[in-house]
Amino acid sequence: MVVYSRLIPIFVVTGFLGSGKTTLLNHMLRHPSLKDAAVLINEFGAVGLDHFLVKKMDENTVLLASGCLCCTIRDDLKSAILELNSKRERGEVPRYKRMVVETTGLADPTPILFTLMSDPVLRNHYRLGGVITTVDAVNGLHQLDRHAESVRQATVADRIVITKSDLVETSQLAALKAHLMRINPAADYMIGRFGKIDVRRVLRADVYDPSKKAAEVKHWLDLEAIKTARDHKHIHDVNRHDEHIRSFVVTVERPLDWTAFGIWLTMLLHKHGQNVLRVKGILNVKGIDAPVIVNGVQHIVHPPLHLAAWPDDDRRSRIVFIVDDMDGTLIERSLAAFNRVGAAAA
Amino acid sequence: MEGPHWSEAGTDAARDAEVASGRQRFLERAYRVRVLNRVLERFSCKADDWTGGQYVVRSPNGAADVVTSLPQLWKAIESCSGRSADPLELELIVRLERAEPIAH
Repeated sequence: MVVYSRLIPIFVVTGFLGSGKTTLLNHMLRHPSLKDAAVLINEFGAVGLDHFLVKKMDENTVLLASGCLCCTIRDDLKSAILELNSKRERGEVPRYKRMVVETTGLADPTPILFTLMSDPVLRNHYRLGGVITTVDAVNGLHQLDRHAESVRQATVADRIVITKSDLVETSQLAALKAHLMRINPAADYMIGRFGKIDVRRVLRADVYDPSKKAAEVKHWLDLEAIKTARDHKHIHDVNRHDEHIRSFVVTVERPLDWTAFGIWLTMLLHKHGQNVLRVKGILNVKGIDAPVIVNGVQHIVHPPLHLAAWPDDDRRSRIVFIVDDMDGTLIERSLAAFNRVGAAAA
Repeated sequence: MEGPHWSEAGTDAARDAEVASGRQRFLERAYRVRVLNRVLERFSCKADDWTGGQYVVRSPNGAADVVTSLPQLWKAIESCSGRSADPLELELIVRLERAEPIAH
């Protein structure tokens, strides 16, 4: 059986045009933690990447029969990874231990995540390590207002790196961060100055790395940050691309029945996967002492895994949802109803 | 070889336990089918286990469809019942709130 945590992690670096993805990548790749990483990029930009293994991929997208954009296989990405993998196996390239994929600035990253998490061949060798999104402090608010792709890039992120912060006033930086936190309160926010960033903290986004998962989950469940983000006042404008995106935490008091939860979540994602942009949580599963982590992007859910211990004193199941135009109260009531069905003792 | 869908595999500790105990796996599977059928009462369709790795979805008029995972099952249920498989549908939620819980 494949042990998920031993698969090669792939970090996806996304962000709008000119938001500093390549600058960030260049900085990241100089860090010792990434000296053994392979890099796949969509286009060779003006800033060259100085790294031992950089490969370009061409866009070749195959839409699956379901017709849902997020369930699209990126054939180019799959081929590029498998080609590199073959060379790695044959010893034609160094045995890289991680991979970084940079997306184009205009891309909705969800097909890339879908490809990495659902393709049966890739899943035997690789897993998604984390999604890092760059947002430009100067133009970020404008891009979020005007471009749906920019909003998608922010909602799927585990890390949001606000770049070019040295070029704006503190108040503008604070306004952008507050805006982003309303879209994605469960991400870790980092401020990049002069193209530099704490690389170790970026790589902690990998919740399936046993040495990092406890700290990462604690961050997901920073409920105060989520509440503050939700309460943050913003101007209502139905033409904004992020107007209908909201986040909330579903809390379940009684232990969850794992079977009922699986039935419920697969049904929810079957019907509403396009609108469930992220789901991340810690579950108190009936009959299991250790907490269970659940982590999904749209229709796709990572294999659930255990934490060694609870990150705080709260023993309730807590699931963070980032959704597009969905009713959080109804989701909570629905989960409780399904859980109730599986609640009887033998 | 591709592993089972996450909802079938259980959590990682449970996965280990399942490998260790075929009987446990059989019982879990039977329990899943019972919980599933409580939900499916709303759709007038039924699901049965098929060789421990698949489900047979049966419509009221006897038509049957074999699926390998829960995501596939929801599609089959929609074909079988002509209804949308939506866990947020209020009538389904109210039914489950009133339903008898299933013993494990």
